[in-house]
Amino acid sequence: MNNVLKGGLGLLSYLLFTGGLIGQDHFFLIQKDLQEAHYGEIRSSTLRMEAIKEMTNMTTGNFSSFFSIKTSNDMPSVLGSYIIENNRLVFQPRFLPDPSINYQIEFSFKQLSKLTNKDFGQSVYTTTFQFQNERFKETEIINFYPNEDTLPANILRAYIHFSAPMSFENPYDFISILDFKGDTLKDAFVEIQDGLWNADRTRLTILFHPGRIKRGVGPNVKQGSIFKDRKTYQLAIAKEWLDTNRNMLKSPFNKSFFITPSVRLALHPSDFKVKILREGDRYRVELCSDKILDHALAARMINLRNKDGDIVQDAEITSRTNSILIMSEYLKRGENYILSINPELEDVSGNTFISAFDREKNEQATSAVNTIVIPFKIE
Amino acid sequence: MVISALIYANTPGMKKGTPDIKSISILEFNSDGILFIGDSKGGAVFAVDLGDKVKSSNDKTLNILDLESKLGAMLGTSAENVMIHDMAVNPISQNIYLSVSRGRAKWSSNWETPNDLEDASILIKISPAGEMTEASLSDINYSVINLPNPIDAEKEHRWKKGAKLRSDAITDIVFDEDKIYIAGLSNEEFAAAVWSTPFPFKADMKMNTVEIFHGAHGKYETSSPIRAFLPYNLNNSKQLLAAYLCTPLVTFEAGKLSNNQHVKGRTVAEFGAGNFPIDMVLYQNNGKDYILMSNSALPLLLFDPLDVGSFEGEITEEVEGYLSGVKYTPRSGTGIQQLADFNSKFILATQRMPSGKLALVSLSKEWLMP
Repeated sequence: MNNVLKGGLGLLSYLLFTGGLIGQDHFFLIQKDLQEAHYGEIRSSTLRMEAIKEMTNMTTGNFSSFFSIKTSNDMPSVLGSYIIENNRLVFQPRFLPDPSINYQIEFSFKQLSKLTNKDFGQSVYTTTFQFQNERFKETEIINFYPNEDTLPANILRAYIHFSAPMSFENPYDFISILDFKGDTLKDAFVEIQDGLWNADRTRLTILFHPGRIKRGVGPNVKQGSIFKDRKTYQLAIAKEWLDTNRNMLKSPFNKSFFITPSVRLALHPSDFKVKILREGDRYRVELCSDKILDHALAARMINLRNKDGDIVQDAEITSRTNSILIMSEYLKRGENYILSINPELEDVSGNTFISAFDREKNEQATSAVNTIVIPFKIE
Repeated sequence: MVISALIYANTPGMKKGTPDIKSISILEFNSDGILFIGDSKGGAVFAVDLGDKVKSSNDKTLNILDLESKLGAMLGTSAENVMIHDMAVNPISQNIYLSVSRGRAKWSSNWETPNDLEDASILIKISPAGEMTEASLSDINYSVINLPNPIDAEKEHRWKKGAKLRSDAITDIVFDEDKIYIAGLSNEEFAAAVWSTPFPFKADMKMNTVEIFHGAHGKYETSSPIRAFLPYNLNNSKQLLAAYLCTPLVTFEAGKLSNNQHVKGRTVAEFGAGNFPIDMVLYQNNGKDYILMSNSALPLLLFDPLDVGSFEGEITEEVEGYLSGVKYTPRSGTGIQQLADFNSKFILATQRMPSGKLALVSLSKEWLMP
């Protein structure tokens, strides 16, 4: 027998002896990002359909017998649930991982074969993993819009921006408005139980009760408007609101605002002026207005276009007090540009270019308003 | 020898679903194996049927040397981070139930309770043989009743900085014949309260505010809740025997606790300041009833309910030296926390051992006598 063959047989013997025990980090996909909604989940590699089929009616106890996560080998398995997703078996821990623990993870096809009385091989995959040990970054409120200190009495909505995804708790358990006497306002919001969130639950839209804002409507007649002119209010957000990892916010949030008379006028192009400022190689375009625009709508209803009508790449729209700031490194000196505004853009009181939100009975909406176009040139 | 038989009970008023329990603060079983969960955070009591009705007549001990390590392993954390909020034993199956959370690492004051620090969110079941599993609270038969006017969620503790009083909305639950009694804090001016309601739950729950004389403090108190209590017939009258922080023992006439009144208790003993009563259990030794009470800073206290019944006095003045009233016997066994009647021969207890580990131990009723 030549040496190569002897070496090959030796390797085969070794593998047979160890029973195919393999430490394979790539077999397991571990969600280790603290800020992710699925933090702590552990997924197997993709499995054969035959194996998936056998798992259809398995109990948690069955799953943990071949796919176990333990704090140490002589201890019971970590509690959690198992789901099948994209042909992978996924373990979802009952509690968030503890960064002080070195978890022992094992997936045993040997045990699966024994459990199902089918042949899925004898491989056993193991790994150990310790989740992040650094201090968890607490979720905080990073922006509140409108961010002005004076707001019209007929403000319709506001936006709360969080630094990380939030949980499915009722947001209105944590948001309150105190009036100038220190009393909590009742029925100020339209309370949508799970909240009105963006896709990754980092932006909450809160709706002030339109029935109390629009004149002549039942709640407005019965309860009156939410805010009184020339008074100061405070919006308070409690720290106890949990993020998706069930941690409280870093700190409570408070915003005081002074109420001014309701704004019941449709927007008009003359309400806006363009200012061009240079900062180094970048040209800052400011769209200035004394109207407080709805921040989320402004971000998608105001576009910066080049002379060919194409939307300029890298445009960045942020809201500032009395202006919308648009900055782009693609703006070229000597070039013509267009700011185009969707006529359905609203101010915070719901007024658009088409009509006021709360117009008089005999007042007609402006029909068929075209896109507002404001051309300018970088000189 | 274990004899198993299936006992089936169908409780009226229950529906199938997943109860919305916000905190598993307190646990208590009735004789039909229905588990009552006091939810302080949610301000409600849930009656859940876990389907755990196979009768067991096991009379052996159960001892688990390092309970917190095993619980920690199940919760994916270390033993140092596990907290047991309450323990109850199903009288039919003898399965042990623990309400558990992570968060002991931040437990830094003897004046805090686990419910002050965390909401227990998981129920662990331990069989008489020691097998540990999670007791699922999903898709089960249950009913719920809300406490009328529990202490407001925002009220802060007067002297426990950062703690909210809501964690004491429900401090103990006892079941007696067809009625449950719930001790805790209400939102009334006199906060300490006892609620009562028949079970199966009907629409109404009665609330009584309660007042006692505290011997160690030398004053009447209305804002400190009952910490541990149990019902007992004394002198042909149903009484609730109740222990308070720092540590009066009081009797309340159960008959007065059903008509929305402010009720004064009769203080029959004072066991001294600086102590939380944790649990109270009634058991029999040679056919005679005794009561065993566990404490945070005192040893086990054993007393004869007949001594309570025959005690004619009432403590209405400050007690010098802190100890007065009904005769009691301190028994060995420091570090004992939760107590529950386990089987005909043993009381189950959790006990902090000299090693620092928390053990589940079986206390022999035969040896627990004055």
